[in-house]
Amino acid sequence: MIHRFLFHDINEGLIRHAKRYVLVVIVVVITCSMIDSMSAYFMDYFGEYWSPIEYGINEFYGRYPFVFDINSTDKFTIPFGWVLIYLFLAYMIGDYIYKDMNGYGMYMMIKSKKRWYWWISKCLWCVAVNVFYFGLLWISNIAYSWMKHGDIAFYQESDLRMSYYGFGFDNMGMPKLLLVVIVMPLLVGIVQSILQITLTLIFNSVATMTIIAGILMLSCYYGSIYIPHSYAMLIRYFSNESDPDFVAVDAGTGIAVLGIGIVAMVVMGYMIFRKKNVISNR
Amino acid sequence: MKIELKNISKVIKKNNVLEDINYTFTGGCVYGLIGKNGCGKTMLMRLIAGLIYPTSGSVCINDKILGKDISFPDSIGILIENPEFLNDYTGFENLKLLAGLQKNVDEQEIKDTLTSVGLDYNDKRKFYKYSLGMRQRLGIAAAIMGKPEIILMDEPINAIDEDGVAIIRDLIRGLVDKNRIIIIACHDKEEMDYLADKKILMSSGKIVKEMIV
Repeated sequence: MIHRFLFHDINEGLIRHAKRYVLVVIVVVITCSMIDSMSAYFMDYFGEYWSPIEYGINEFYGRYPFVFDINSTDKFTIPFGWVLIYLFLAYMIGDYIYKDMNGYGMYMMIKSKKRWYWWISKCLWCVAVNVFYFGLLWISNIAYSWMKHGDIAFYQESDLRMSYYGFGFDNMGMPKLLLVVIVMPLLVGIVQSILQITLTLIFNSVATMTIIAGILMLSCYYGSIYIPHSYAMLIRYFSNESDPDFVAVDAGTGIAVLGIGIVAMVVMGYMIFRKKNVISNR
Repeated sequence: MKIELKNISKVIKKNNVLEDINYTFTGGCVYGLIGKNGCGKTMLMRLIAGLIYPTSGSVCINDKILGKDISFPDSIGILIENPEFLNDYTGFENLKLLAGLQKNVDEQEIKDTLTSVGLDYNDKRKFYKYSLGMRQRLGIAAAIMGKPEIILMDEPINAIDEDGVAIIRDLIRGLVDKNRIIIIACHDKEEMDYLADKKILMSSGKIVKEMIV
């Protein structure tokens, strides 16, 4: 039964809006062009260029939590590309579930006689959207790298990374680096999307988008192992020499926190939806 | 088949859209809800369908409490105003997808249902190319498909031409069965006189009068 709901959701909530996903390609082109331009000197000097994984590192580099110090000239800056990636993801989710709940999805719910099917299908649809979205992002990274450098080598020498970032991530090891740069941002995206559809049950889509944008800003400003988006910022897996109070996050803890977050939100969303007026009284 | 509304009230944004409604619907009868716009007809139908929950009181379908014992009535078809279907699917495909969620509906029944509302099951036009009347007919087909025990129709003859009205009228009368409850909301007084066995007059969220036609 659930597969019929999921088939419908993927058709109507993903494939129908496939054109929207061109935004992912645009973000990739912008972020990759920016890092290419900012590191042009080092690339020339070392004769190296960024690989697709390193473009991903740049996209999910993030930033350390901001430490306010009145005597410091440091300003709070937002990692533009990172925020755009998650904002556009929120746009992909949009208000599809609200429209479906008041349209064809309502008929499906009545015919199936279960609200549970509808809700679980929407959560699985969020997973599908995220897999497609981040999959496309990585494909775009590879395509950009191939078009720009004629090479899609997995990982380059570390001189370029060392010079650009100040450290080379070498102590992390490749499997963990891939986990942190590929899997964790995907998990964070799933948490964000399920949170978004849960909020859509309560608020309208504009309010929901505003809340998501607020969460992204807060995630850039503050740091905690309980803030899901911390796990989508590579830099936060490393300690900060200039801020001894900062506690680096860990991928294992991240998987546990995000896993619990996903399950909790699926259950919480259902609790809300179970008692919700299906035809909105907004 | 029995639907019991017990002390039903519904408050939306501090407005009492339904107020202390007590009524029992039984099978073998077509009920017509009448009243001015905003009197609560549509809200009452949504409530019976399990789409919204009462602020107080309960809806019992064959002694099962809606929202507690069951999420939706076991056997129900509903036509809401301006029915929404999948734009890129034909009428047949739309119903087929819905029929997949029901155990007792085969392809032949989908074809028969479409024919009964005056639609051609071989029509290859997608839903977005349907006229308002065709959309309404498809909505009715979705509501009656699978021969549900409860059929709720909000303005069933909206946007339907004269010939179509006659078809739908006969179709609804033909659905009357001792185990089936049909509830219709309609503005057309003449049509309601023809369709309904009992008329329920609503005003300001209350049932004020029941009339046997």
